[in-house]
Amino acid sequence: MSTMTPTRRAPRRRGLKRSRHSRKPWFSMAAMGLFAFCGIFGALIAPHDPTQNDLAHSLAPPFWAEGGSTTYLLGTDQLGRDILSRLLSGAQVSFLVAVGAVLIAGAIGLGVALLAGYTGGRLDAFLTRVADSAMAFPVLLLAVIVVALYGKSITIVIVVLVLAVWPQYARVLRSEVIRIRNEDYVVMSKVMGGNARWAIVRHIVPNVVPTLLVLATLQIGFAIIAEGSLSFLGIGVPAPAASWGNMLADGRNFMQTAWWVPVFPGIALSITVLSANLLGDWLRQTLDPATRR
Amino acid sequence: MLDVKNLHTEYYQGGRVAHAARGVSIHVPQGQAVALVGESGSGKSTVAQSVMRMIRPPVGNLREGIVSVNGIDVRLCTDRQMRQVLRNEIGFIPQDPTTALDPLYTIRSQIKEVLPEEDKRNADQVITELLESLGIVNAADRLGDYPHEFSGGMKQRVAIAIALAKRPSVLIADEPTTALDVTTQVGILRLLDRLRRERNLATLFITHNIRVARLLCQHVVVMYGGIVVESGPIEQVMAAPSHPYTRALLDASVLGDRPRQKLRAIPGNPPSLFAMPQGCPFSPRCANATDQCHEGLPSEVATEQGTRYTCWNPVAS
Amino acid sequence: MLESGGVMTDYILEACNVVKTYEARGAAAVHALKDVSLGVAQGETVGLVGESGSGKTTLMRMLLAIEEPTTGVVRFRGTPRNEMGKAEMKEYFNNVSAVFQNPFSSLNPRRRLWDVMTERRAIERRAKKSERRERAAELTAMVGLPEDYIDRYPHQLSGGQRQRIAIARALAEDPSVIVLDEPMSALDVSVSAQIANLLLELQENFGVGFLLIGHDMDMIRHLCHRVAVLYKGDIVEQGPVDAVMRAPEHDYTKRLLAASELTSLEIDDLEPVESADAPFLISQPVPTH
Repeated sequence: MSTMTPTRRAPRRRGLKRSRHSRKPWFSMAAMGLFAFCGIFGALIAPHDPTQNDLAHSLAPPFWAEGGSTTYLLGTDQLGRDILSRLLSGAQVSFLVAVGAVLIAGAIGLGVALLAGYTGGRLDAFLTRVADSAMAFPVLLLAVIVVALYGKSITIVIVVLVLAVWPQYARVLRSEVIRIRNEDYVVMSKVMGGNARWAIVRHIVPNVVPTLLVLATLQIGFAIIAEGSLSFLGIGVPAPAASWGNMLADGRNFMQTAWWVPVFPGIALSITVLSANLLGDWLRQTLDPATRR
Repeated sequence: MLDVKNLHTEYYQGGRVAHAARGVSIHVPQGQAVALVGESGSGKSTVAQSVMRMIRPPVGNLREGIVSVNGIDVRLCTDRQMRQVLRNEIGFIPQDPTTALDPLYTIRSQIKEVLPEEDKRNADQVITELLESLGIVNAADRLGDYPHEFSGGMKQRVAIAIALAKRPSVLIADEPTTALDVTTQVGILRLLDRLRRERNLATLFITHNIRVARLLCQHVVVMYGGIVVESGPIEQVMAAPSHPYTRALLDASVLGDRPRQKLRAIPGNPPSLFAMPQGCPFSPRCANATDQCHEGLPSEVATEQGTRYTCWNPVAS
Repeated sequence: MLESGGVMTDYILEACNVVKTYEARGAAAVHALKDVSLGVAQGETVGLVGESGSGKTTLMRMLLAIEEPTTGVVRFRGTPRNEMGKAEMKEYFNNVSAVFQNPFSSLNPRRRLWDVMTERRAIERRAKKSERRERAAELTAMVGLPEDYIDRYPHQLSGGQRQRIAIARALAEDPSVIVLDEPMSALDVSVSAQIANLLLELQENFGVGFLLIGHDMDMIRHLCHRVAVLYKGDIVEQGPVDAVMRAPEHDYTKRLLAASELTSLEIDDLEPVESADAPFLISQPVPTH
């Protein structure tokens, strides 16, 4: 009877198939995979203790350069700490900060978006204004204040980032919630006796997940950069813990004499952030057509 | 004059090719209105977009054929030349004026933007006259209004004004009344009819409703699954359709004499562009279909009444 | 000709003297419905016609319990809805269902069709998955689709097929009234005839009452027993469909019929168009589409 023979495919797969123009970003996926792996298991595979000084071998070059040795594959810094081990340890910090900040901010943003977008009216106006004010507050100033009050720690970095990032989730997701709330299938669920909780859990949340995913991926890049910047400025992760940001900060004086000290964390940071952003862009293109309609 | 000959337009998606128009020919002389009738996926909008060359790689391509607007083949135009054609020759009326008008600009500035240079000096006067000729009362007072201050029918009149401000020779209207209320619809149809006569416009009227088409058009081109199944003078085609699809379409859209009785519906669904059946695209739904129909398309046949059809087993009429 | 609202009638679902006024901050109140009474009886199809802004959508939302009237009541089998207890409301939701205009936005794109069709049972948490799937298979067969469609997603279907699923969902709890909001207007001509036939068939088999909201006068004439004309928040004319169509009394009905005749364009050119338009509700309260 039907001339159309649709094949059985889940919506998301169809979305991926559709975007022929954006090829799968294999490189970004691999880089992010490696980042996640190092972020979780970094400490286990690090050849040395990342905070162990070894002044006898300070500023040793990477193994392939003259004077380098395979003991310190990527060389050592001015205190003789193994750069590879510090990179791996830094990856853990970045990973923890990025994932932690993104998850917490995402949860807060989604909650606010659902509350504001679904309820509407005065609560919506109030929450939107709160998010706007939060967004208008400069991140750096916020960081300086919080650090001055509570001191430096990874937790503080995460808190600062969450404070800086949640309004963006809230704003974007709120408009999605409003769009979906007015879709006929949500109205229909009310006709069938479904309450607000039903509409939110069954219809609205599953349909904002793609947007949330895209945002989160893009925010990972931002969080890594932000942690790096804060650490670089000395208000992030406290020494002697390794973070790509404070490795860069330490290394910038050795640019002329021992390039490997600043260059390796720089490369790690750039590649990770770039990959996160590329992945986010690709996700956006890929998931978008499937979520429309 | 709009002359489309043997147009083949395709879309690309996920490595697949959809043949949205396969050998479509349409001739619209000055001062005449031709209806392009079809359902979703028939290729009717593809033809309109091809004329305006809005389909281009990587989305799709006008692979073959001639699309001539006043003698200019749009397939051979450079981008610059194409802009000239769109600016000077083709007026387009969208389906939904609400999304076609920019909510941020007054109607004065939206119409002024497309006026020819010589009209720009006394733009307000030209625009007022144009709007009043389109049935907007007290137009002079409304030039500074924004689109949301107009009702649906009035918005469509503003959209028509934008299409006509450049004094085009070809008018393409894509379902211009489907988004409007019934009582508003007639006014717009009447307006389009008058404009065609007064301005000697070559009008291509795209619609899914053959009965609406009959009011406005002298000729009809019926499309199904990317091909033209039947064409000719609209009265003849409606009085004695040759293609089973045209017949079925007329049957399905004529209600009234037998209330609450079953309608003669066409079974099945229109084919998807990416899963086009072999042979005649209508064959899976056609009561007259034979093996021949599932294998290949016949060439076009001309009748004595001046209509043309593409079918192995035409309906006797 | 107008039925009186308050008296007990044979109507299953009935709006009695319903008034709906939207108060907006800093703007004049919008009177979307001014004292509207309309009922649907068992096995009957009532047409509701009117242009955008006439209050059709608002009335539909009242009847479907999406919103409550400012004054007036909606009765189901004689009982006013505002006096109903929990169990009665359950009955209400089982018995009053709807099919919306746009089959593309009325099905959640992320749910399989069996899940979509039996959502009412999921809300009530009163059926196991296997029972729901079984019911879904019955429903798909009822609306003329292959039973194996229940495991598909909405995007795998054409517009007409989706509208069949939407109708199947409306039928899921053996309702006594279905509100149909322009169910054919988003469909192709060849497919809308199929849906019209399906509706006739379902009414014959199940005796369900329909409230058919629409603007296609031919379709209304074809499918309905009675028709009500809504104009600027008032029902200006109501009666058997033949009578209204043959001898319309209200000016607006006459205009509507003349406009939908579509026999000729050669009526006097350019009537005063501003009055032909309906700039009544410039901003609709809550858009459903």
